[in-house]
Amino acid sequence: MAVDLSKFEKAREEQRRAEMEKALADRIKAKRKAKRSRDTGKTALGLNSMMDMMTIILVFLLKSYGEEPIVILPNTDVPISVAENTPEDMTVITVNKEGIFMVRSRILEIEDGKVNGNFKKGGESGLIIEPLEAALRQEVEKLKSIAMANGKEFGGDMTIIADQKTNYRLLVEVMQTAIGTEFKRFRFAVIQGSMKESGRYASAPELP
Amino acid sequence: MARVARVPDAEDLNLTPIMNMVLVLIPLMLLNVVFMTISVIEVTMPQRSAGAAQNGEPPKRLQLFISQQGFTVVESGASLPALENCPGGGPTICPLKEESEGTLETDRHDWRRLYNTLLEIKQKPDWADHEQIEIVADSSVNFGVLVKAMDVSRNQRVPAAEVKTAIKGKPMTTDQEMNESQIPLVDSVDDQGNSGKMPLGMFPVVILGLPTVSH
Repeated sequence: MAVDLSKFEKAREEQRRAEMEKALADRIKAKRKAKRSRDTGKTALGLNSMMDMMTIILVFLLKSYGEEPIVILPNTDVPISVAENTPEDMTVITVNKEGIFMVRSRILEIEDGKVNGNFKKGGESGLIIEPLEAALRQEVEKLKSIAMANGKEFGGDMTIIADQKTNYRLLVEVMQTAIGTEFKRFRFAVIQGSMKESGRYASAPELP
Repeated sequence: MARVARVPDAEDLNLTPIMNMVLVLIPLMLLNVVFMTISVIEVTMPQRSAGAAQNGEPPKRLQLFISQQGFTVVESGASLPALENCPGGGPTICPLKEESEGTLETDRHDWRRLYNTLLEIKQKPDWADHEQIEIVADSSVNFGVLVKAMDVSRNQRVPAAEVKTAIKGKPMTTDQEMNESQIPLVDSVDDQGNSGKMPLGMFPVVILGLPTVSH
């Protein structure tokens, strides 16, 4: 009697196991089938998350694009400095290896780091650069009328972006010319960096 | 016979053209973005005719002359004697390295000694409130050298480890210490009347002078 009962139980257990195995196999089959049908279906690649990301990146890029009040022209190795004052929108003069620029337009060319004496008042030893003076006078007139329309006074601020290798003489000539046309306050644009890099430029050869 | 208008099934918005545009725009803008922060250094320069005011000359003037041969610090009209390893009668501080091809002019100078010399002047009681430094350079001196000279003279610095607690600058013993030093922030009031933590100044007001003739 006891033996029969154990046999019966064993049989039932076996049956149960077989049933479970079959159910499991069925489920796997169904899953595979579903997968196959999904693969062949028309559903597109899920690009939504990428689109979201790109839209966000685009917004940020556009923002940083429009914000910069100072544009560094190509061919200008701006030196690095520890200064932290933020630049403001004002008259910008760029002095690089090729010439003197106002905003983006070239005012005159520079040869060997010098302005040709013919362009200066008083020849080679002069401090006033004539083409620059003419351009600045025009600019000052424009700025003054804008300031007047806004009920403000013309501040005479100027930002100078200069190449790391610009010599002091040229820099002084530019500033003296500007002083002659009522500019008073000068700011040198620099790139923020550490004391170690200060005075060098970003693409300069490494320190020995 | 009435025709039954067939309403087409609502289709998904076709975003492919927009995607194409965005894909092109992003690399374009990434190329254009400059990952550098631009800041400015304020300077003033007297008009050329201002030299006429010689008689009303302020008694206290700190001048720094920069040349290829080194720095000369002039305190109230008297130039400081040359430091060690520098010939007498010449500049106060000689460059560390000789002029050579491939060396950046900025890297040649002895910025640490310049900083220490200026700090020593600043820490004298009667110079403590002085804020101006006149920087005059040779015609041939690089803009980069000028920028670094301004960086060195405008702020007091301390070794990086002490930046949180320091209230005054410290002289630097090695070039590495100089390179890693930082500007401590102290409570102060700016010219607009705002008070708060501000970088500790040494001679923050820079006046540029007309160039000396290069030798």
